[in-house]
Amino acid sequence: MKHFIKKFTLLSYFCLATFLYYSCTQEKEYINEKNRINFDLKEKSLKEALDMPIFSNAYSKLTKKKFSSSASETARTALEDQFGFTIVPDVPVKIISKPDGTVFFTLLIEREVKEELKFENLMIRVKNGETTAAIIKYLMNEKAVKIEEHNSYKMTINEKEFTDLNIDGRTFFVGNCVDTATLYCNDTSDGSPPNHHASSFCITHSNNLFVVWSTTCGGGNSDPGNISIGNTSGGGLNPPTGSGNTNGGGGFPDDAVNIISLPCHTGNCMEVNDDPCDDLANHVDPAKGNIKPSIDWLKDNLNNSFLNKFEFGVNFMKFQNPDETYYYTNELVSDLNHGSVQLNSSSKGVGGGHNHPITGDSMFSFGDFELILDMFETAWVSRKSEVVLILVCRDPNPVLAALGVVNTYALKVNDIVKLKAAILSKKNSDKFIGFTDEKEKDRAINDEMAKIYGTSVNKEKLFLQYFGNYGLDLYKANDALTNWNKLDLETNSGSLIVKQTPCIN
Amino acid sequence: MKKINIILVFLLSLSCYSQTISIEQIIDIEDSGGQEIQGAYYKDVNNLLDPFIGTYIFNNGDKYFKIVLEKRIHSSLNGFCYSDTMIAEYQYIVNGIEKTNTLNKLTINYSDARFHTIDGDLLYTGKVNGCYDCDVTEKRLRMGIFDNYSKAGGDIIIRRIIVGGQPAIELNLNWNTRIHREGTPLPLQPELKGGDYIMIKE
Repeated sequence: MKHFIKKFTLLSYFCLATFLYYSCTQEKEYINEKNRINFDLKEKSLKEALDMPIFSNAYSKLTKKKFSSSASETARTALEDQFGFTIVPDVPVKIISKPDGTVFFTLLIEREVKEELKFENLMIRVKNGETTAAIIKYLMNEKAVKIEEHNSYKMTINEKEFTDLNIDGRTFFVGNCVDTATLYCNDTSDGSPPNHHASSFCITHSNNLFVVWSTTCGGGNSDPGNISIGNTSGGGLNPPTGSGNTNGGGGFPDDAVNIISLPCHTGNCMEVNDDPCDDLANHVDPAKGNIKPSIDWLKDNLNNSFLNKFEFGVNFMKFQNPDETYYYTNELVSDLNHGSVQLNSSSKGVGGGHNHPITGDSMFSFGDFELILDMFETAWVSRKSEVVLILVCRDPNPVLAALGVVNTYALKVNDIVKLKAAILSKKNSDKFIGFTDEKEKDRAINDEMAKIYGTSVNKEKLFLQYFGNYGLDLYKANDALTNWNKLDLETNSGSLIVKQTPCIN
Repeated sequence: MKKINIILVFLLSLSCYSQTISIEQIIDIEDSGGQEIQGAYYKDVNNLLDPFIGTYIFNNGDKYFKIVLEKRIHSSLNGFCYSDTMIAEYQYIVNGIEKTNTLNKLTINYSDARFHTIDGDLLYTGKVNGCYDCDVTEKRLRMGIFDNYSKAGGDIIIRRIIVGGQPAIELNLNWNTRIHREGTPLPLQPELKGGDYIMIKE
């Protein structure tokens, strides 16, 4: 009996300890579900929308002209006499449904006189059986860029102008107030706190999106036709801008620029060229980027017995001419007074280049990953696909290096989310989490990378092995800088080798 | 029954003990490869770091640069693994005005040697990384440097040489390219200029 009591006591302690252990190590995720609503965003052609009774009824209240729901062309132009605009053909109607039954329809409209970098949306709201409508005019600072994932556009809106269409005495904006929906995200994997305004990271990669609807009011002006409600508009997914205001019309928010899921004029929007080979070809094209003289300057410095101990840089910029064509500039950067150079990350930047000195590694460093990340994030959306980071360095084989053989590499971002996550993961890894100064941490990670490269003469392979999943593509130029080869790893007879795929076949 | 209980308790104790005490895996620092094994000790088995220990001076009349190189044994990399490593602190004076002095950090016993201004244990052998006149067996030491004033990071390569019959080092300092983001102030520049320094051992 005594033994039994002892064993029972021991067992009890064990159970208690186990319970305490799990109580301490298991974490409960707490998410505030209040106001959390999944949103519903659909697209339909005008003809399909007209087949929806809710839309055709609402649309017919706007126009004095009669039209048949089967005659979409008549419907498209039905508002021209009254309001001076028509619905743009072949651009889908965006439909956003609110859980209380309110439905918003957003249509792209056009007028006889086109305005550069401006476009207008007709927004129709059906709430409790009542139809209201307004026109929102957007002024952008540059052409919007198509975002394939959401069939939407990323743009920076400078100004918005609202015109209430006042249907049968009912106004879209009630008492200068408007329903706004803000897109939130509960994905923390990019380092954001829980339940934050959705960033492009979340929108592209997360299933944890949700919408919080609210009523936003602001100061209007005295013009009965046009009203200005602070900087908000209604009836859509309304993102906060950098200044903290909201704008809308079916938009998605982003940290720096807005991703708007509203219809946009093709003349004011552009498709981004997503072929990195084309972008690299543009950079070396004498009529475009014309970077060869700058790269040759870096090479010359690397073959100069005094200058080859220093790093030099080049900033690649892209500017718009008044006739909407573009021109590029290459700014050489050197600072022999300090032996330290800085490349720019700017909205009009399309990347840059630099060299590693002969004592440095013949491949990109961790600091270089941060350079291209910053350049990519800062560049305007229309320039992001062109962002490149060039590295000029001596060949890692000392025999070739002694003969002056210099390699030119290019890094291109193929997945910005992966890149950010990989950098964050490295910075938060066990070996580096102890650093409180981020820059000091970067230096320590650079040191680790130098060890990875070590004295290997095949640094391309090491780069692809260790950093191939960083959301970056590695390219190598030929000596004349007339073509690029994409470098990838492939298995050959059981061993990994670096495969070169020419950009031009 | 009592004997069985004693044996069980003994085995249990042994089991617990074996989980908390493990034999540290010792690996030569030259075999680190940057992908350290958790809990391992990267030891300077052949004492290759020792010849670099010392105080070295560069003095051209205008500029005075003193660096003190010391070896740290079994330094922690944030508890992830351990390594024998070299650390260094320095003093930099221009025209009699002291620009930087980190020598006081030599007395601080950091558990993680990477918190020193300069640290590293990467040894280059032979002609790699730009030493075309190096002997094929010659060892150079690569270290990282962080300038707390400018927040600039860089690399230092140290080659042991003889100058006028005196032991010396050829120190190459390279500050890494940094970013200047549009709309933010220009980053500060480090006081200590990049480039080559011939430094005589004190």
